[in-house]
Formats: sequence, C-alpha cells, structure tokens
Amino acid sequence: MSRRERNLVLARVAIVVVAVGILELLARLGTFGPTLSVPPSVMLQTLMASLADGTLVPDVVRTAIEIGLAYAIALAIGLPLGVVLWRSRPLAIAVEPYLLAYYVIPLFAFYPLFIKIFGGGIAPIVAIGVINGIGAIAMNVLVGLREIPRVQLAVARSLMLGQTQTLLHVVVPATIPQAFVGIRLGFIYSLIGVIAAEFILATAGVGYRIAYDYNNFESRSMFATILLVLIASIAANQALISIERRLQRHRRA
Amino acid sequence: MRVTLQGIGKSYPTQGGGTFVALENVSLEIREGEFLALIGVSGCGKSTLLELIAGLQTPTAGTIAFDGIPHVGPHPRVSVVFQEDSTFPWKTVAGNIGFGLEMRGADPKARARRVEAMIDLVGLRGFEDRYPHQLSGGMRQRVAIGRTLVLDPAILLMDEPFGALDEQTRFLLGEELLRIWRESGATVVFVTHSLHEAVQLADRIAVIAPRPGRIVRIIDNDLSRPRRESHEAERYGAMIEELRVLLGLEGNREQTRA
Ligand SMILES: Nc1ncnc2c1ncn2[C@@H]1O[C@H](COP(=O)(O)OP(=O)(O)O)[C@@H](O)[C@H]1O
Ligand SMILES: [Mg+2]
Repeated sequence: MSRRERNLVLARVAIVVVAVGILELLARLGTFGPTLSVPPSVMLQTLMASLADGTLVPDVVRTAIEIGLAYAIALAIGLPLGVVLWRSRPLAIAVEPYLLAYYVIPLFAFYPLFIKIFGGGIAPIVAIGVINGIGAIAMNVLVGLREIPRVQLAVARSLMLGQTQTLLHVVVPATIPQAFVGIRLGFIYSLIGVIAAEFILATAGVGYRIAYDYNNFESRSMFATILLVLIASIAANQALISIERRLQRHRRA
Repeated sequence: MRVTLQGIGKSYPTQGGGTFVALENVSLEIREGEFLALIGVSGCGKSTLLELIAGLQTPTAGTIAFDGIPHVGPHPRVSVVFQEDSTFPWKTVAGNIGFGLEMRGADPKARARRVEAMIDLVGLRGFEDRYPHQLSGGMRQRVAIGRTLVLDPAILLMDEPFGALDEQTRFLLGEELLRIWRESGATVVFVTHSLHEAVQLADRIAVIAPRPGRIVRIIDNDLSRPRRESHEAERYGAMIEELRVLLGLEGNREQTRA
C-alpha cells in the first residue's frame, strides 16, 4: 500500500470513528429524548448480550434463511432470463421498457396481494426478496452479454468452436465482470426486500424484531438489531465488491 | 492451399426493402503459398470479401473452393487476424496464443512447447504472463497473430492487422510478417488500404473498386525484397502511382500515406 492509499484508509476510518464518537456523546447527553438516546457502545453491548443469551438467534437464522432462499431463486431466474433476452431479439425489444421501469414500481404497495397469493409464513417475504433481486441480475447479465465484442465471437466461430465451448470459453468469461455487478446488486436487493417485507408481513425475523421493539419502546434492543443488520450488509457488500474487483482487474482500460 | 473464388457476390437487404450490393462477380485464384494483398478505399468490400473466404459470412452468389473442393463455412486450416483487437482480456499472452490449441484438445505438453516457440517467433519473450491490457496495441496484434500462426494455418487471412498502429511499427511488423510467412509457407491474404503496405509486402496486389465491390486489376509485384522506397525508387514509385490511379486517388497525395 502506498503512503497515499494508507492515508486514505486512515481518513475513512477516522470519519467513522468521529461520527460514532459524536453519536455516543450526543446520546449520552440525552439529545434525542429519553427513549431514543442510545449510545453506540450500549447498542453493541446489547447486541452481544442478545446474541450470547440466544434471544436474537432464531430471528437471525430465520432472516438468513429467507435471504438465502430469495437470493438463490432470484439467481436461478435472473441469470437465465438475461441469457434468454440476449438470445431473442424480439423478446428483448418487447420486454425492455418493462425491464427499465422495473424498480419504478413500488413493490411494497402490493403487500396485501402477496399475502393473498402466498399466504402467511415465509413465502410472501421470500417472494418479495426474489422479485426485488431478479431485475438487477437479469439486466446486468443482459448488458454484459450485449457488450461482448463482436470480434471475440468471430474468433470463436473462426476456430469452429462448438456451442458449449463458445459459451464456456468465450461468452462466460467475457460476461462475468459485468454479470457480477448484477450478482452483487441482486444480493443487496434481495436482502433489502426480505428485511423490509419482514416489517410488514412477518411474525419473526430481524425486520420483525426491529418493528416489534419500536412499537414497544425497546430502543436498546431495536438499535442493537439495526446495528447487526448494518454490519452484516456492509460486510457482505464489501466481500462481494472485493470479488468484483478481482474479476474486473483484466478489463480493458 | 489454393483458394478459388468463382463469381462471388454479396448483397445485403436495405432498410427500404431494396438490396445493397457489397460485392459483385468476384473471381480470383489465390495461389498456394503466395502473399496476396487486397487493396481498396474504405467501404469497398475488403472485409466482406475476407469474411467470405473465412466462412464467417455466406456469399449470395458464387462458390469458394479450397484446393478445388467447394467449401461453406469456417475451415480448420484457415485462420483470421482481425482488424480490431481480438485478444481475450481474461487470458495472459501465453493463454491467448495457446487458446486455439487448447480448444482443439492438444496435449498440454505439446501445446506449451508450441506456445513457447510462438512467443519467440512473434517477439513477445518476457511478456508471456502479461495480460492484454498491460500491452501496447502493436503487442496485442502480435498476440492475435501468434494465436493464429500456432495453429499452422494453410491460409492466413489478415484484415488490416496493422491498421491501428503508427507507420514505423507497421513497417517493422510487416517485415516480421514476411519472415514468418517465408518460414511457414502459408498462403497469406492481406487486406490493406495503404499503398505502401501493399507494395512492401505482397507478391500480387488485387485492386478492389467500390460500389459494387469488384476486382478491377491484379498487379504482379516483382520488386526485389527487402523493399524500400529507396531501393528501386523508379519502379517502386511507378507501382505506387499505378495503384493510386486505379484507386482514383490522383491529385490527392495526402491519402496515399493514410
Ligand atoms: N452486415 C451488413 N449489412 C449491410 N451492409 C453491410 C454489412 N456489412 C458491410 N456492409 C456494407 O458493405 C460495404 C463494404 O463493407 P466492408 O467490407 O466492411 O468494407 P471495407 O472493409 O473495404 O472498408 C460497406 O458499404 C458496408 O456499409
Ligand atoms: Mg474493413
């Protein structure tokens, strides 16, 4: 790491430390009123305690399963959807406007419909996570496939590669850097969908826990859970970004 | 390998429902082991003709035969070097050069040996583990040339392979190409729009006129090699002049160096 980069990292860490410090101070002074003034240090303590004594664990496990399921299904539909739209021009032309407007639709406004269709339990929550994830995955796969330079496909044809060889050795490696942007965003969007859906639809799970604590003035426990969600999503995103960087390192400048 | 083009035509449907004739009635015998240049102004159909020979497009009229045997589609002994950068950014220099062999299932040891030799031949020793984005345009084009040569093609089709390079690099790579061509014994079809490049490299120069694309003249080039403008200045100059007239470039000397 160069000196410049090191200073940059230090500066970024300093921003977080200062922000947390200010929050700690303001909370201890009671700035946000008696119920909401929870210092970050207390949030962390509460979180550790509720993880240690197991009270939060079932919710965390349930949410993790929902997210995992939603993401897996979103990938299973989104990846082939991108490929199908690439292979079929007429279909792509027909579907494109809807795909572009995908995230314009306020998905959560339809929650009564989800309950009607999927009933109670985790099904409607997973469904919202799936739908929220598919768009980003399919769109980025489609963009990645369309951006394969024509000449690279011409090389494959000129070498008389079979369909499978062309797919495995040219199409996939040429598309992966862009497709992975969708694979990463799809995860984030599935996660957001699931947790938000839990607020309104669930009887357990991390999102439900936050809403429950809010309604019962359990600020400490509420902020502790929010902190967990924050740490988990940032960690997951960072991990995915570092893979993405690795995949993109040979991209042409 | 010998290539026979017989009455080749290629037209494309246009927006308005008509047809655009890119090539019309092209007949040409490409001799075994010769270095043939195809020259013409931009848009006259050079790339189209090359892609037809490569089997990447199908003619709308006429036939193509290799050693007298009619053929449709790509041919295992015919390789193409494209005008654009065609290297794979996710593979190293060695990985790119060995790609065709890998796809054809060559034994890994034999493949490594041939890739090694090819790296020397195209002058990329010391760069074998680099990725294309770490190379200059000229070096990437050497990689693309190495990737086709390692397959030991009987026919090497090159579409303005040095088009994106500066004149000095272009000349040096041209001389290297001639050395490789002599060693390999392959038939080379080399597309260019540069008069000097055609005269520097080719045994024969086929002049293509535009709209519709057709061969208007084939010039035999028997200047002694290595060819420099200074060696046989008079005959060199005369050949350039003849090409310039055939291409309709008289009175526009700027373009001849384009
Ligand atoms: N797929 C295509 N559809 C319609 N017209 C084409 C197509 N490919 C090439 N052409 C036209 O054919 C002519 C010859 O193109 P090309 O062979 O690329 O020329 P050159 O390589 O000599 O510059 C051009 O006018 C070009 O616009
Ligand atoms: Mg061209």
